[in-house]
Amino acid sequence: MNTNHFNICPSCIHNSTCVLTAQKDKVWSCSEYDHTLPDETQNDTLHQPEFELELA
Amino acid sequence: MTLVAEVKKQKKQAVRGMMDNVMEQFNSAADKINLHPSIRKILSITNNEIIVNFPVKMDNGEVEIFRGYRVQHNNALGPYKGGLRYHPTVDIDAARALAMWMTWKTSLAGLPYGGGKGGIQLDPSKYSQGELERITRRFTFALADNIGPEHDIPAPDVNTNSQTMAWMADTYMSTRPPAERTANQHVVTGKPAGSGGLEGRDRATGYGVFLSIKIWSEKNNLSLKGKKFIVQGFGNVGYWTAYFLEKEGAKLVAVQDAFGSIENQKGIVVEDLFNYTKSNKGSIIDFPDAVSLEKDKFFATECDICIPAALGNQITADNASQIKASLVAEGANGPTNVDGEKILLERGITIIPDILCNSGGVVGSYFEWLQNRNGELWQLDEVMAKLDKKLRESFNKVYEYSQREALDMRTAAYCIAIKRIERAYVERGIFP
Repeated sequence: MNTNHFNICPSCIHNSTCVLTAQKDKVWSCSEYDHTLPDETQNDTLHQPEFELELA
Repeated sequence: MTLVAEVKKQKKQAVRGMMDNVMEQFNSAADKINLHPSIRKILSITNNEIIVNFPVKMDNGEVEIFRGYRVQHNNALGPYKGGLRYHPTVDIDAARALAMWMTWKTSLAGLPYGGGKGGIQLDPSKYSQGELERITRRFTFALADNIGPEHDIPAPDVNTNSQTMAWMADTYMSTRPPAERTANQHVVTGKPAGSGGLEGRDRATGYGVFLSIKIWSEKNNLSLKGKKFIVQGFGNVGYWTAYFLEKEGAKLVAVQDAFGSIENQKGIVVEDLFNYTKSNKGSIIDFPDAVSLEKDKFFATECDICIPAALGNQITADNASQIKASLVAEGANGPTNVDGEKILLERGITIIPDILCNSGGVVGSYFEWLQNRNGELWQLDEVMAKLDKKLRESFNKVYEYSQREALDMRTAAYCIAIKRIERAYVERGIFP
């Protein structure tokens, strides 16, 4: 079975400062992993379609 | 360079990873139990590998195509079980290796499950909450014929959480005929407590780590009272392990997290440290009742029990000889590599292996599934009592096997896990 290497460090907010490991190229699971949060600012520019309630 | 491109470049580097260790463990245990060659063949490959490409409308009105995976490794013991991760590094190879690992884990835990894993190749930080919801729902719809409460039961993993599972359950249930909808709530586990989730799921893994240490101590006529322990990782697993150990009279003397390391040989009060991290952006650094410790000195700290509960490859040939503890309890996945393990065992240090030590989480998932399946709502004390019983059973099996066969506990755990699957195949035969 192929055991390709995958790694979660690049998307972790602690990546540049983390003291837990110097081997930041083969971490597949970490309790300290925090990913950068979804960009909520995108929601500010989102225009929702306007609906009107019509009584039939 | 985008994160996805950067990650793809890094993946080409040939480095020895944790999953190589898992394969090595499988082969070594298979040799030890003289696993039937046909069953070795079956277990060396996956049953099904599903790749789905699906479109999702983004907030700006454009349509983006996503690629999702689900690998179903083996279901000899029951429905496939395993997490779904949202990450740029998710691909079929990653899912394969992790699905296989889940097969051993569920088997050892004595659960009626097989192993699976999957996810979507994406960087969640690039999407709004609304987009992530639509991606999740569309992925669930695309996977719908290949998952199911009695077929394949996903759970949270990296970058997915109880909210993701709630969206999945809702989408899956919505695609069933009306009269069957509520009977399908257990298609995923790790749901929020108000939507079929399990009370106490947050502490299940940490409780399992604590219990493993406690049972080992009992078997060796040792009391936990006054015993010093160190924890690497103060996330969910590290915190709850420390919480339960402290209640039993043990003393937390050093902690390491992503920000740094601290030590106090007189003891660190777990709740005080937890409250401090909440007001300190999650960091343990500068905790007033401790001094800071050099990061490379952490594993050399004076203690009786060492609990690596953060990440893999932490105890290696470089530091294994410096460890003072007589017991290493692996709260994380793969924290001790092959070279590190060899040194620890030679020094007479016991290792409670990850596959056993941190299995409280998957047992908690099983309880959630059972609760939904039976239309019940369990109280926290019931959950903890059931967890205690189930974990004790697994620990005793591994401990006794290791004593009887004069094996280390990791090898014993793999032998038991593989034997259980072998037995299922031997009893039922191969169709046709």
